[in-house]
Amino acid sequence: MAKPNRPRTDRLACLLHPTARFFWGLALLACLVFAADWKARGLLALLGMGLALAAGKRVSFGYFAFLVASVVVFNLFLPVGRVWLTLGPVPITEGAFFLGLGKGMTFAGLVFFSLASISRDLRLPGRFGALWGQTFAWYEQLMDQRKALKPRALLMSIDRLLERLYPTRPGTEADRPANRKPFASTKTGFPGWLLMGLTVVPAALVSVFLR
Amino acid sequence: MPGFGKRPVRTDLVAFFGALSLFFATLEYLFPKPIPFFRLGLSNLPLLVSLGFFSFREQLLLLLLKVVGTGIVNGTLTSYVFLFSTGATLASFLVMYGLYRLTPPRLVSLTGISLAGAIASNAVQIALAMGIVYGPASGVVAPWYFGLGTFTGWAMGWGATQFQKHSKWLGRLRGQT
Repeated sequence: MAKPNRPRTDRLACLLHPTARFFWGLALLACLVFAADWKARGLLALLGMGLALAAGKRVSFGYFAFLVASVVVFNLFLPVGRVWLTLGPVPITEGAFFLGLGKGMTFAGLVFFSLASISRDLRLPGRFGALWGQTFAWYEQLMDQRKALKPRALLMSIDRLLERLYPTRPGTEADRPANRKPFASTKTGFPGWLLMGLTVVPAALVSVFLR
Repeated sequence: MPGFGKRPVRTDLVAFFGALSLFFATLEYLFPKPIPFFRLGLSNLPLLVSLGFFSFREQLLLLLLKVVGTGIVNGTLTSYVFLFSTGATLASFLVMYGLYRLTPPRLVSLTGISLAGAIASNAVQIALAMGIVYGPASGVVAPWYFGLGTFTGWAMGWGATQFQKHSKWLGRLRGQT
C-alpha cells in the first residue's frame, strides 16, 4: 500500500505576511515574464523551484522536465530562424527551439512562483481586495493540483478536481475555502524583508541584463 | 457583495470561476501561436459555461478578474497586448451574453454563441491593430485570424457544451443557484 504523503512545512509562512508574500510573488513574476532570454527564464524558474520547495510544496522534477520538453517539441512545428536539421518534412530550427525552451521555463516559473507566493490565508484590503485574494488563493490550489487532470479522462478528472476544490454535494458546502476560518498570520519582520530583497534584486538584474 | 446592486453577488463563486480563467490562461501560454496575438481562448471557457447561472453583474466581475488576472499572470498588464485582450474579451462577452439572453436555446447553441464571441473578439483585435498599433497593413492577417478564430471558437463552444452535458459538478452547482 502506498504511504500517504507527509504534510510539509511552509518555511516562508513564519517569515512573510501573506499580503507581503503575494506582492513579492508579483514582483518575481514580473521579472520572469519580462526576461527576454531563455537562460534568464531558466535561472528564474530555478529560483522559483527553490522557493516553492521552501514553501513546502511538492515539486516533481520529472513532470517539469517532461513539460518543458513537450513545449519545445510542440513549438518546433512552427519553424523560426536558422535550420539545424530536417526530420522528414519538419525543419528543426534554432529560433523555434529556444522559443519553446523559453516558454517551457516561463510556464514552470509561473507555477513555482505562484506556489511559493500565494498563501491560502491571503486577504487583500477592501471588497475587491477580498475578491482578488480569494481568486488567487484558488488559483494557487488549482496550480498545486494540476496533476489531477488526466488527458485520457479529461472531463471526469476536471469534474473531480472541481468537486474537491469547490464542493457541491449536499452537506459539503461548509468545506469551501471561503467558509474556512483564517489562521493568524505572521508579520513580515527583518528576515522576511531580507529574503524579499535577496530574491527580487538578483531576479531583476538577471531579467534586465541576461540577454 | 453589498453595494453592487439589489441581489448580492456570490463573490466566492465568481472568484472560483476567475481562478479557473487564470488557470486556463496559464495553460494556454504553452501553445505556440501561428499568428502574433492569436489566442485559443481557453480562459473564456469559464465565462461561457457560467452564462447560464451568473447575473450580468457577476459576469462583469468575472470578466474583470479574467482580463486583469491574465494580464498579471502572463505579464501583459503594462503592454498594448492588454488593450487587445480587454477590447476583445469585452466585445466577445457582450455578443455572447446578448445572444444567450435574447435568443431561444433551440435557435442558437452554446457552440454558436462561442463562435459569435470569437468572431467579435477577432474583429475587435484586427480593428485595434489597424487603427491604433500597426496601421492598415495589419489587415493582411485578417483572413488567417478569422479562419483560425472560427475554428477555435467552434472548438471552445464544443468543449463547453460537452462539459455542460457531462459535468455532475456543474449540474449540482446549477441546481443550487
